[in-house]
Parts: sequence; C-alpha cells; structure tokens
Amino acid sequence: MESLRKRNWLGAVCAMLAVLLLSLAVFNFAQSEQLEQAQTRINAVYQKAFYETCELTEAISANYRKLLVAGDHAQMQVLLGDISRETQGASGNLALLPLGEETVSATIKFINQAEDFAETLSQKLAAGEEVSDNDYQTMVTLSDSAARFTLGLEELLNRYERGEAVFSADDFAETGDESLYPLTGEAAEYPVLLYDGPFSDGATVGDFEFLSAMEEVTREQAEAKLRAFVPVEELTYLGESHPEVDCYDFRIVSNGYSMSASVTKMGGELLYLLPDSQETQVNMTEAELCDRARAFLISRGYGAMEMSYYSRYGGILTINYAAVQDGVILYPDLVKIQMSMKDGSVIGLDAKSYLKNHTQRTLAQPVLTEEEALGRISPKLTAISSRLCVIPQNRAEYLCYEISAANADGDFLVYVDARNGVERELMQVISKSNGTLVM
Amino acid sequence: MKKRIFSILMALLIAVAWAVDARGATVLEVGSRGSDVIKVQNRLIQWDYLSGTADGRYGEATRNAVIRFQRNNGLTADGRVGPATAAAMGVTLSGSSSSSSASTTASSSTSYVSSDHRLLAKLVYAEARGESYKGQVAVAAVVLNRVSSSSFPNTVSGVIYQSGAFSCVSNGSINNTPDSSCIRAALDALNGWDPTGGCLYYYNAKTAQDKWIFSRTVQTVIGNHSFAI
Repeated sequence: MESLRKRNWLGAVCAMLAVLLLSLAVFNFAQSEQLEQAQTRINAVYQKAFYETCELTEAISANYRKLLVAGDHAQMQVLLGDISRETQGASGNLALLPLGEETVSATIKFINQAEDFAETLSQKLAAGEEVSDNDYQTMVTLSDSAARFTLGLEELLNRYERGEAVFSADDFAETGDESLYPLTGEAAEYPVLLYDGPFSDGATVGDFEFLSAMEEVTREQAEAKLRAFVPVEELTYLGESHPEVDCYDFRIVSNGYSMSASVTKMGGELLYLLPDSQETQVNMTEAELCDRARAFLISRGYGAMEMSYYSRYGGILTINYAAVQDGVILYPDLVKIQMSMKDGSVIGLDAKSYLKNHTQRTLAQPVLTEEEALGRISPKLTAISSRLCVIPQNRAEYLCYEISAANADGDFLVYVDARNGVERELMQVISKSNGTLVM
Repeated sequence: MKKRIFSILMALLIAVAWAVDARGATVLEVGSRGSDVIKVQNRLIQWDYLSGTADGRYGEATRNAVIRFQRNNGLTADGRVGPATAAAMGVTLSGSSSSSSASTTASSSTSYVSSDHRLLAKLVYAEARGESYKGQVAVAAVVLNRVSSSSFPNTVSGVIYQSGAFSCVSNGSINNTPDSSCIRAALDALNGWDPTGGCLYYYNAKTAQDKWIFSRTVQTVIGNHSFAI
C-alpha cells in the first residue's frame, strides 16, 4: 500500500516534469521564432535603406549630368531641387546602415557636399547670378564621383543579392574595409570641392573678429573681469579649455545662483555663463526683465542693442539682443542673456556670435528705396512695417529691408536685399505661450 | 547650405519687436498690428462697418468700426476686440493667451518647442543625466554640431539614430523620460549655447574601449566626458 502510493506519487511528478519540459520547449521555440522575426524585420529595414541609397545616388548622378546640359535657369532649379531631395534621402538612409559612424562619414560627407553645392547654386540662380566656369567644373566632378559611387554600390548590391552577408546586425565594418568599397572609402577618395558652400568644414570655425586686436589677459585679470560683470559671492578656478578659442573656466556663485563661466584669454571677454540650477519662481514680468537685460548689456559695454526674440522656460527668460549700428540691426552680432524671473538676476549669457562677428561695418547705402523694397513682397501679403538690417547667409552678410507683413493666415518676415531687391529669406512668425518662434 | 539648420538658427536669431509686443495681448486695440487685425478688418469690411482694404493696423477707423459693431451686437462698446467681440465676429485670435502678470508661481512648464527638442532631451537624459548642467548642454551641443557638420546626417534624428553613434540607442535607454534639467539643457543648446566650441565627439576616458576615439583632439573635459573634434 505504502509503496503503491509512492509509485503513484513518483508517476505524478514525472508526468508534471514531462509537461513542464514540453511547455518549455514550446515556449523556447516560440521565443526563437519571435527573435527570428525581429531579426528579419531589422534586416528588412537595412535592405530598404540600402536599396534606397542605391536608387537615390543613381538619381543624383543622372541629375548632375542633366544639370550640365540644362537650357535655362528654371530647368536648372527643377534639377537642383530634385538633387537636394535625393541627397537628403541618401544621407538619412546611409546613416541607418549598420556600418558605424566613422565608417560612413566620408560617404555622407560626399553626399552632403553634393547637397550643399546644389542648394548654394540654387540660391545663386534665384538671386539672378550666372553659373560660373568653376560651378560647371564642380558639376563635372560631382557627376563623375556620383557615377563612380553608383557603380561601386551596384557591385555591393550584387554581392548582397547573391546572399553574401554584406551587412549583419552585429558587426561593424572598419574604416577603409575594402570589401565594402565604396561605402567605407576614405575621405581622400572623393574630390575636394572648391565652392562658396557654407558647410565646408571651416564653416563653423570662423574667427573671433571682435577679439582679434585684443591683448592676452592673465587668469587674475580674467577673474577680475568676471567679477566686474556679475556680482560674485564664490569663485573657483577650474582650468583652461579651448571651445574654439582659448578660455579660462570658472565656477561661480552670483546672487545665490551657481553657474559655469568661460572667459576668453584674448581680451578677457565673457564667452558664456550657464546656470546650474533650475528656477521656477516668477515674480517679475517679461517686459520688466527685457528692459533690465538691455540696460545691463549696455552698462557692460555691448553698445546699442535691440531685442529680437525671447522665450521662457520655467522661471528663466532667455532674451536675444542684436547689435545696432546707425539704426541698422546687425543680426550676426547677437548676445543671448538669461534672466531669473524670480529676482531679475543675470544667470546665463552666450556672447559667441557677438565675439565672432562684432565689428564696425562699412554699411553701403541701400540701392532700393523702402518703397521699392515694399513693392517686392508678394501681393498676397500686406506690409506693416520695415527697417534695415544685416542678415547672415552663406557665410556672407547682406543688407536687407526686414519687412513685417501679414495676411489672414499669419504674420511673416520678408528680407529683401537692399542692393538688388532679391528676396533673401521668408519666415513665418509663430506665437507660442512660451515665446515667439520664427520658421 | 543646409537650409533646415539655417532656418533653425535664423529662427533663434531673428524675430521682431512687434511680434513680441503682440504677445501676451489677447485684446486688440488701437496700436495692435498683424494677422489678427487683418482677420478683424476683413470681417468689418465684409459687413460694411469699414471701407477700404485690410492693412493689419488697428487705427482710429478700425476702432470706430468696432464700436459700431459692438453697439449693433449688444456688446460693451469699448472699441477693443477681446474674447467676446472676437467670438461675436467669428474670429479666432491667434495671439498668445498667456497672461504676463507678475507674482505667479510658474507651472512646472516642461513644454517642448519642437520634436527635435524632445528627442534631444531624451538623448541628454540617457547619456548625461549624472553630469553637471554644463556637461548636459555640452552633450546636446555635440549632437547639433554633428547636424551642421558635413560628415554626419543633417537632422537631429538622423544623427541620434545613426548606427553605432550612441550606445543609448542600441541599449534602449533613450526611451526613458527625461527630467526637467535635461529638457532645459537641450533647449539651451538649441538656443546656441555650446560649451564645447564645436566638438563632434565625446567619450568617457575611463570607460571608452574604442581606440579610434582617443585619436581625436580633445578640446575640453567636462565631468566624465572628454569633448573632441
């Protein structure tokens, strides 16, 4: 009796174990099936990215060839528009391929150059300028390179279609891996293009015009300048850094706010202030703070300034001020200042644009009268006011009439070149509860 | 030129005083200007309260027309277009409805200005939540520097989701909800603050395993991150 019961019990355990094992096996199988499905789906994304890259580079190559023989500017504009769209798609898809950022950077660079050139040329044509011999030369180079690039991609595609594991989810190719040419080609494989495009690598490395004639200061002098700029309760010297320009870095406490500060070695100018902590209290109005910020900047020697924009985040108001010369707004010479809405303390500043660009301009007399400029805007818009300003575009500066205009759909800003009447920029002004956005 | 980035920059650079003046004013009165005034004038012209064309400027003629409209419709005839008058005209005023009165404690506004801002804040939270505020702005600035560099994709999402670029994308930590400091850091970077001075890379010198990254020139070190070009 006893042993029979035991055997029954053993049998039950065995049966339960068997059921458990079986269900585990089924579960496992289902799991691996799911994994496989996920892998298939990821591979499909890679495939799509790859096929689309091939398709788009073929189109870029073809359109650059057409561009060389296009009959008039209107036709060229159509082609350039297509090229911009295709290059954007190609670089997005390239970045998706599992090749690693440094591997494809040379390729993306080439695609971006093709895009930059197309957009620069398009703007040139829109401004009524002619296509220069250099432009044609660049077009030839670009179309040749794009053609070579396309051939290489086709070869890679063939291998991929024959079942070779060209891309797999888990390993990244090395830069210069020849088996994946042209995707992993070194930068040197592609031509160095000479054109006025703004995104040649030097574009973000402009000189600090404002500091160019200044003397180098010591750490102590920099500290003294910082103390003269904002009230300082505590100060710690952190060392030197080189954010584009040599700087002394400090941590300070000013009006109870802890902040980071960088002061340039040349001239001892404040490059930026960043508040460490969040402010949520609001005791002051935006208008009060804007006036206060302007007075502050003028008292610190920035000269005449005009507010151009502000936005609010919690209890921090960020206000942009542009320099003014002879009544003309200099948009490249910008200082951004952050104010605490709790007590009006200055808690942030970014003077990079100002330090880079601010200089006494030789402002040409406008060729167009204000009346003529107003006549250039779309008849669908009603002009409300206008003023002269300098705007940055393609690394150059243009004297423009900034025309505030509106229709029932919204408010706009139109920038009409004061020299030749070209519409340089068109923006829509969007009011949001935390600031005014311009698109 | 990478037009999108340029317009972001211009957006942050440029706006005009009148647009800012109009902000906070849900009431149109003499001196108001812009698209809301055009909408009101269009209605007044349509109903013969006003002659001529809509010029977007709220002057005496517009005021008198508004007063006549208000009298005819049983509204307080004050010559100003507030919510009641606007509703009676069937016009929606687009001007911001935020009151600019003082002595209020701000709501914990964690609003995003754009989808770029949202994604950037998530990246900052995943990559730099233990860092100082400056270190967080710096990480966001690196992403934006990549967007404007010709060697990287041209959009914030393109840069962040570039294969192998950020470990938080492969391990999924980018999907966490950012805190308010990271949201603000992303915004300050979008507004132009860049403590790295144009850097395109950063790495944690203690934990980085990729030898290649050490070949880049370090411009500045903030907290655990070395920032390089």
